[in-house]
Parts: sequence; structure tokens; C-alpha cells
Amino acid sequence: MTARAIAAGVLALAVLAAPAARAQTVRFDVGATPAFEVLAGSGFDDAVAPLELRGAVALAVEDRPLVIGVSLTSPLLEPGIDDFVFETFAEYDLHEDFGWTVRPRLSLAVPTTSNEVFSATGLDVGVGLFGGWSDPIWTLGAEVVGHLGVLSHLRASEWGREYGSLASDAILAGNGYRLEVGARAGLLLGPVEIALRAGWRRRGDYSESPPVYAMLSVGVRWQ
Amino acid sequence: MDGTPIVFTCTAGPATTRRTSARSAAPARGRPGRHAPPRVLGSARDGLSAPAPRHSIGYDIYRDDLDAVVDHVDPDRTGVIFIGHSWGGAYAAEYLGRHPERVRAAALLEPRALTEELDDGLPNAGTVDLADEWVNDLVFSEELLTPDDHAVADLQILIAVRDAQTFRRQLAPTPTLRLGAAVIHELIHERFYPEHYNLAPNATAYPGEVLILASDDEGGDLSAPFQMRQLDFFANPTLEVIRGGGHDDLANAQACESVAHILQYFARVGA
Repeated sequence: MTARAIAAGVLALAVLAAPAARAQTVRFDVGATPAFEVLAGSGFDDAVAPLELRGAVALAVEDRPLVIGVSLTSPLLEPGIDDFVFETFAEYDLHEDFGWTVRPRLSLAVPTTSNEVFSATGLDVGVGLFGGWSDPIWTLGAEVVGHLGVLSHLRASEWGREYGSLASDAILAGNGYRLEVGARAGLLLGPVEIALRAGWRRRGDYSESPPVYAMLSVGVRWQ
Repeated sequence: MDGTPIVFTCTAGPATTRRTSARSAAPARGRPGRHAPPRVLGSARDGLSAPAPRHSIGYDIYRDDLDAVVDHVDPDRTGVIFIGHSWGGAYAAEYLGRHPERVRAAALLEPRALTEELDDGLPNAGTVDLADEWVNDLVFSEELLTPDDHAVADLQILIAVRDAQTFRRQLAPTPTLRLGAAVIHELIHERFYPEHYNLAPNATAYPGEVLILASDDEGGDLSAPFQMRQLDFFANPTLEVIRGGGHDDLANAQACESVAHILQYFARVGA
């Protein structure tokens, strides 16, 4: 099975799963039945203008919401299945009631990219912590998120081999990380949630990308 | 050609000059030491001198390197010949002004802008279109590779090499060795050169003929019209135009033509 076919399968799975979420904002009001949310967002994060689709399901565990979701992010200016990040995550509110809360997060992601020099597929593990205020209508708080690229498999293009002096392929371990410190805010208007994440990001000494991220998402919840 | 040492100074900015002078291309795998751009000169152990700390990378260490290279290849001070392309041409011109007595000939192939003012005035200077595919490719690649050491940063900067200067004519792709991203980073953030730099304030002190080769690329930033503006930096310049190609072609696809011009120049000046 080719990498392209695998990517298409992952994309189809994400679309069928529909709900996905990189990070919830307003705390879910979970009861006996699960709650769902689907969001779409853009801004500046993984690319100049990524399109991010997320979905999540919130389950009541010990009377607190456990949110499990997936997200698919792809550069909007360069749509295609060669460049995307597919992520699964889980978040759990440590406090039973609305109000002040602390919410740890764990994620596993498969980023892939293809350009004129190389193609690459990787495996990324992320941990995060959100702390702030969350009532049934709005949320405001701070987040700290760390991602570690566990493994990346690079395959040089013909140009990369012929003119860029690259080896045909390489496996790199621990060659990716990013740290994010920022704010997360959300507003729930009926079933519609507007969510914002923005902050500072570190991606290496020689990164020429702006050291910031800012994503605005709009989603729908139902139960 | 009586055994006079020839010093080649390379294209694509100081990073490549340093890299290609010091070390052959390395594959993508492997992680050289962090913040350790190699020096041009050699040490007893591995042929390279001690790495320079990243924050000390600046034009001054390149100047010192070139002085040491010339001292090394011409200990009797009989004079050397420079052949420099692009950034390497400006690098050689800078030496020409400081040590005219140590140069027997200099052939410069489309040297870069010799002053900050000229560089800022180039029509394509610093233009990056955020919607360009290579820009998105470069940013998105950071999902997988954090540019935190030389091996990764070199690999990522390579994404820009193919497409960042497409305004230049190019007859054939140009082989690119590892780029020395630490230096490129300092260039982008304008920390490499001194403020208001002038690389050849005293190049007129060299009385001999200086050959300047240029392309006739109408869209090229460093082609013949621009080089005409740089002639005043030299006392006795000769501008010769090689037609049909572009900036990189002078040293690659049209290298044979360039060599023919350079050999005729050597014959004229008795080098």
C-alpha cells in the first residue's frame, strides 16, 4: 500500500469520524449521554493559513468530562493529501464542577509533508496542561503544550538527491519539537462554540517562522 | 599559469563558501555538532579549525579566514589569483581592497552587491510571497523537523533554494551542497554584516585589471546592468557579458564559456 493510499485512508477516516478536536475550550456539560462537537478553524499554526477540522466526544468519567477527539490539519494555501497532521488526543477536567479547572492533555499525531526536496512522515507525542475558568458559557485560561517528534522518515526527491546532495532516505529520531505557551478562550452561544488559541511558540534556533500561533475555530455541539 | 595559487571563492552566500571550502556534502542522516559551523582553515586532526560559536558568526571571521587561506597558499607572498562567483566575487573584491599587493589577478563572476545600499536597492531584495508554495512547504516541514541544529536547518533551507530566486534565468539546475543555515539565519536577521557595510571601499587600490563576468539576464538582479553600477569600485575593471544564461549558469551550465573568458584574461594580464 502506498503512502498516498494510507494518507487517503486516514483522511477518509477523519471525515467519517467527523468529530475531531485539537483542544476543547468551554467545558462540556456531560451527563448520562455523551456530547459531541465538530469544529473548523484557521489562522497561523502549522502553516501560513491551515485548515483545521476537529471533532470530539465527551464522556462522563467520575462526573468529569473526558474528551477524546481527532483533528486533521492541512495548509489551506496548498490543499492536498501530501501535507497534513492527523492527531488524536484526550483531555480530562480534574475538577468536578464548573469554575476553576485544570485540564491535562495527551496527544499522538502523524504529521506528513511533501515538497520539492523531500517527503516525510513522522510520529509526534504531545502533552499539555490548561488551567483557567470555565463556566457553561465561556472559558478563559492559559495553556502550556509540548510536542516531541519521536521519529521521522525522510525520503529525498530526485531533485534532493541529484542537486541537493541528500541521501535517498533517512530515519531521524527526536528531530522535532515545539513548545507552546498561550491563552485559550471560548464562548458557547447555544450549540455554537467560538474558540481561540493564541500564544508564543518555540520551534528551534534556526526556525524562520514567526514564533507565534493563533487559531480561531467555530464549532457545533450536540448531545 | 606559472604555479600561482588560485583561490576560488564560491557562490550562494558565505554559508556555502565556508561549507564547500571546508567540508564535502553530507547526507541528511546524522547530526553534526550544534551551533558548529566549520572554519575554512584546517586543524591538525580533521582538516578543520575550531568551530565558531553561532553568535560570533559575522563577516569578520570570514575576512580572517581568507587572510589565513592566502597566507597558507602563498607563504612567499608572490601573489594569488582570485576566481569568485556571486558572494564569492564580493568576498574576493573585499580582499583586493585590503591587500592589493598580494593579488596578481581577479576574475569576479556577477559579484553580489558590494554595499548595503546597493543590496537594498535590488528590485527583488528580500521579497517573499507568503502564498508561495515553497514558503508553505518550509513552514509546514517544521511539523516534522525542528530546525535546531545544522543538519536539520540545512535540510529545510534547501526547500527555498529551488524556488526563492526564480526571477533569475537558469539553464540547468545547479547542484547545491549543504547550505550552512546558521550563517543564512544571521544574514536574514541582518546580523552578519556590519551596519552600513561596504565590502570594497578600497578596491581601487588594486591597479591591475579586474575581470567581471556577467549574464545578460534581463530579470536577473546581479546581471550586466547591475554590474555596470559596480565598476566604479575598481580602478581598472573589464566587464564581459556571457549571453543566454543566468547568474548560476556562469559557474555551471556556461562554465566552459566563463573559463574561456578567464583564460583570455589571464593571458592579457600575464597571470
